Amino acid sequence: MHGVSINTQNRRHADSGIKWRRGGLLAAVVCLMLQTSWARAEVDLSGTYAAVQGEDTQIRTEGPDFADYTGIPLSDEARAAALSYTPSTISEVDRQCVPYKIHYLLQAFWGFRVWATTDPISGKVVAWNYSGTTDRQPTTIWMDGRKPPADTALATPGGFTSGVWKGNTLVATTTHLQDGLLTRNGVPASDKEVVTMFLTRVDNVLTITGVIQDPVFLTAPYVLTNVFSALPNQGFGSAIGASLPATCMPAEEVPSVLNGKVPSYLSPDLNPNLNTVSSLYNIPRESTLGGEQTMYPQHSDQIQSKYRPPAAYCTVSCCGAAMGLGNLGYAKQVLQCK
Amino acid sequence: MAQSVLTYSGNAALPYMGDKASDVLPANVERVVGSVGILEVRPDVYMLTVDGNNLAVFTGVQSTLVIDSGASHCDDVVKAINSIAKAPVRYIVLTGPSADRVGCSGPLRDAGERMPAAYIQQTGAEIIGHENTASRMAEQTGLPSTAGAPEDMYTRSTLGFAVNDQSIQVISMPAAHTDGDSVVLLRRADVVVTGDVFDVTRFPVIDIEHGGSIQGEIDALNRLLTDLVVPSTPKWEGRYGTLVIPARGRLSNQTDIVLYRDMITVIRDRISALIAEGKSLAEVQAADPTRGYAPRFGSQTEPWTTSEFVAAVYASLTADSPAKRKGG
Repeated sequence: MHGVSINTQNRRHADSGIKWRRGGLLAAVVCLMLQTSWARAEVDLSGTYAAVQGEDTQIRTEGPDFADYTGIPLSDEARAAALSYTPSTISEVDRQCVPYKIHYLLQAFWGFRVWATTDPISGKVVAWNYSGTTDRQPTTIWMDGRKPPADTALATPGGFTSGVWKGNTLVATTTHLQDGLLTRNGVPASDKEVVTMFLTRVDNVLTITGVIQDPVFLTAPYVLTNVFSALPNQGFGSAIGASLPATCMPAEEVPSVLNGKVPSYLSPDLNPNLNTVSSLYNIPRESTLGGEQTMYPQHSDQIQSKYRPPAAYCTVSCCGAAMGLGNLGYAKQVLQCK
Repeated sequence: MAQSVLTYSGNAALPYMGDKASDVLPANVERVVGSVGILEVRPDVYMLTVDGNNLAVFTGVQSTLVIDSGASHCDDVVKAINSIAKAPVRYIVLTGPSADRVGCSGPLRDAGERMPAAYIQQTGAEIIGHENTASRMAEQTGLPSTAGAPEDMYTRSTLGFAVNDQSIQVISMPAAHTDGDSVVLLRRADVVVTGDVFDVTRFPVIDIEHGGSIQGEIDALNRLLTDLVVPSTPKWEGRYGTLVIPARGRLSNQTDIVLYRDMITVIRDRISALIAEGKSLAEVQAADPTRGYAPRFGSQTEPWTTSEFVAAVYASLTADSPAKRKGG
């Protein structure tokens, strides 16, 4: 019995080994099929989206604090340019209507609309497009493998974008960007900037991750994300901004620069807002002035001994914009608005 | 979409909802002839680039107009122009006296053919420029032998003439890069060629010894913005508004000039403040008045280093400059 039992056991082992091998083969085939279909997993991105509020709310609504560059891998020169910047700069008649660059999609609360341009014969998607707003250029993501424009071609705030599917993620790379701003508080962005955006839609949620590389003003890639929710009843031209009109007519807001002056803090080191963020939130100035080191988690360990939490969690800009959007309950919950 | 978009420049050939794919046009691509890149910026208007220097060509059934000439690979420049010209080169406008603008004007003139006129015996294309461009060229010793000086000179604030169906305005910008600078407006095409007044790759070259000044440079940029360069509406729409061909670097528009003007004005004001504090040139240079702008427009290597730019602005703002002595 024992021997039989051993033989039986061996056979069982052998059978299970065969089954395992068969199972492994089946799994491999299924994996291969899945991988093949995954590689072709182009997703229909068409739709109307609203930005999901909650991440970087202040930055995306009323804007970042003056002289707050925390987490931005900016160079010393970029910091100097940012500290020279005053909000009056974009009140110049000549600059009022200049849109923000393509990465503003990840730094604002606007929604947008996505649609495909298809080849009328083959039906293939030639390009994905997403709408602009008054202060951001619409974008076309070319999917037909066309060559980029010449290096000598015109640069624009939206640049030239080509895309390729990697699994179910659309990877869109933008070049030919005009000089402009990286942030609304004056961090500069050069025309050498390259922006790569990863667009992933799962069910009704579209996540966009952007990697901004600027060899002129950044010392490391700067990563931003924004999450959007498909909202087909949003309507065109709504306050959430699926498709705001992209026109703009400037008006005199500050004395004309033709009298020889341009709004600027001539000496970056004497910017009156140099300590604003430190005094508001008790965050050390070495952090608020940004730099590559402030991006990483260990930086919070390094400054822990210097950080004293403010008396109240939220003292400035806690509620306004979020309430303006009608999200009072949300704002109360997250931002402790009273 | 309008058919004209087919040949227009810019990346903004954006498809809108309802467009067919065939309406969505490729962005502009550069052609290359020898060492010369050719970019069509508007119908029959081209920006040619050779060794980083730009020149412009407008061609039509009667004449070809060339603005500036580049300074190197002159044979390639002539071949490149011949590859796009619909008629002989009859006019060459020189926007200033620097070698980068005038270096190949001689071979270009010789390859051209002026409008027949019974009372004029000269051959070759007609070279046009401000009187001071001619006189500054005569003074310079380092110009290439291929440079041909203007023979048709203007001294007023502007010179206007028509080529094909295009009104051309040559507009004097006194005491900017030098005292002989011009910008050229192609009115119908809505293209401006700036010469050395605007360089999207570097700080402006202020040639103090030949009458240039920082204030003249700022005045020239402001003049471009007030009178000559119209922004597109909306601003990002590259098909519309004035296109700007700079001395060097990529095709530009109003926004590029605004940012450049603002930068130059801020740097001038920083240096003025330091001069008012009694700082010497060495102290001003040590104070780094180009902070924030140098990585984008500065250079540590010749030609035209950041240090040279600061020195030129300093000289321009003190009594020690010819333009200042003239009250410029």
